[in-house]
Amino acid sequence: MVFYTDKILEHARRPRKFGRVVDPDVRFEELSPLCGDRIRVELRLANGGQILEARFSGEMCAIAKGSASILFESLEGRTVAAAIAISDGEVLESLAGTIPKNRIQCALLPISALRGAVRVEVNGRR
Amino acid sequence: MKQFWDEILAANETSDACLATVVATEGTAPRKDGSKMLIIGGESLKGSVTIGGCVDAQVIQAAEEVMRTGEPRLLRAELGEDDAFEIGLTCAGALRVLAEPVKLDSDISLQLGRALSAGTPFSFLTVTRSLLPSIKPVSKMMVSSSGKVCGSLGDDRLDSVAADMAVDLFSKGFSRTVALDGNFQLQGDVQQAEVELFVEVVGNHPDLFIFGATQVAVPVAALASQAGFRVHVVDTRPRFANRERFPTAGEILVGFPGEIAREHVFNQLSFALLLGHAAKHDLPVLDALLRTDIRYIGVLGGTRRAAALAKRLGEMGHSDQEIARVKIPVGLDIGAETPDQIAIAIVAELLMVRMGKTTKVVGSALPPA
Repeated sequence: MVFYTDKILEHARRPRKFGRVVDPDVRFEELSPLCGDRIRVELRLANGGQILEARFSGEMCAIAKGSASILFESLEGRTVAAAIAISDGEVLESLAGTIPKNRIQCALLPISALRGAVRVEVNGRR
Repeated sequence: MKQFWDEILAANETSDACLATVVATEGTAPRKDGSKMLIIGGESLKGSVTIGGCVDAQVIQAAEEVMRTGEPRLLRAELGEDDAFEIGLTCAGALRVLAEPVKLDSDISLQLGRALSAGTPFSFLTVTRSLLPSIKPVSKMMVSSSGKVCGSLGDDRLDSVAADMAVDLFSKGFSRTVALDGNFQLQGDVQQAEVELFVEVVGNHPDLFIFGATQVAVPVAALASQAGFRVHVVDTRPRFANRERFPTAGEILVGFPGEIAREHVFNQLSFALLLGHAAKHDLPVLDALLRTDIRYIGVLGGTRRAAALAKRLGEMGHSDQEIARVKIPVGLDIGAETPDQIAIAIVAELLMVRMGKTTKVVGSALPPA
């Protein structure tokens, strides 16, 4: 149980930015195919690519939900380019504790879904 | 059942077909109301009204007369304890069987074909006995779940009363014969009835939603389908929730289980099982189900899991009374250990609840010789 850091637990119990965006510019879902964690990312964007509103929803474990809450709390105001520049290492570091190898995929599911959402946005503009 | 009704529709095109339907049972007759046998000419035979034996043979004999004369017959077969044993049946009781020529009018035939093609459940009403000249035996009417009527039993007032009864029985999922007096009010004493109707509910199978496409869910879905449930399998993972693993499921839903539970309509004919062992899905699903009128909610798990779920549901605002609607662990206590055995225990409990029964071993030791 040591990997449920206080920070993860606090965010998992009271997730920030958990909910839906009304009429989003981008919507993307990502699934962890074996454990069944499933996250939905929704973004509302300004013309310049700035993230005006970012929300996540879905059904996921405490690590994934805590990680998503911490990540999404930091997104609004950034550009999509800056958002996807957030590395896996930065995400893991933000959790304030060591995540065991077999749960790292849970912690990285939200950033992976965010990158997927941005890919959808970029491909849509082409 | 759908297949049999398709056969009836096909037989409607032929001139020498007889349909025998069990319209009432008493005691422990071996099959239930609505059981059917279709006899076409002297050769083709489909279905049965009992589990076989002398009674079916008597019905076939009567069917030959029905086909020859074109007149329906209401048969009564008594199955006393000794008689039943002598003719090879293990059950005692009585059956009433309506044997009638297969002769559907074009409106009903058309509507029946549409309902069967679309898989829409409906009620099918047949006059089995009438002392009133205006109400002819074997007059028919079809009624949709919302009460929309096709056909007529021969009297507008009777049609209206019968449609209301059909909607009521449809909502309960029961087929039964209803006895009416001359004013078309329910008549408790069948002997005094002037009109009897058989109201058959067709295709309104109870829905079973299985949340969690797990190894136990696979045999549960198969057994429940065979037991007459319309099975819906829900999971986030297409690798688990797919047609290959659940060939008999009526529907496979991949997405967010909590959202799926919130979007569906559950009623007193709906059952739900949570077989996934994952709080991340179970809590949103239970939260949604407890806000509905669903008949039964069962969860796989033990006492620790029960305590944890109860605590979290309480934190979500559900009262103790609401939380008590969740049954955990699901399944009858028959010593099941493997997934297949656990599935038997679970589906047995579902059937018990559906039929309004309680657990008991039916058999007893044979008496001394």
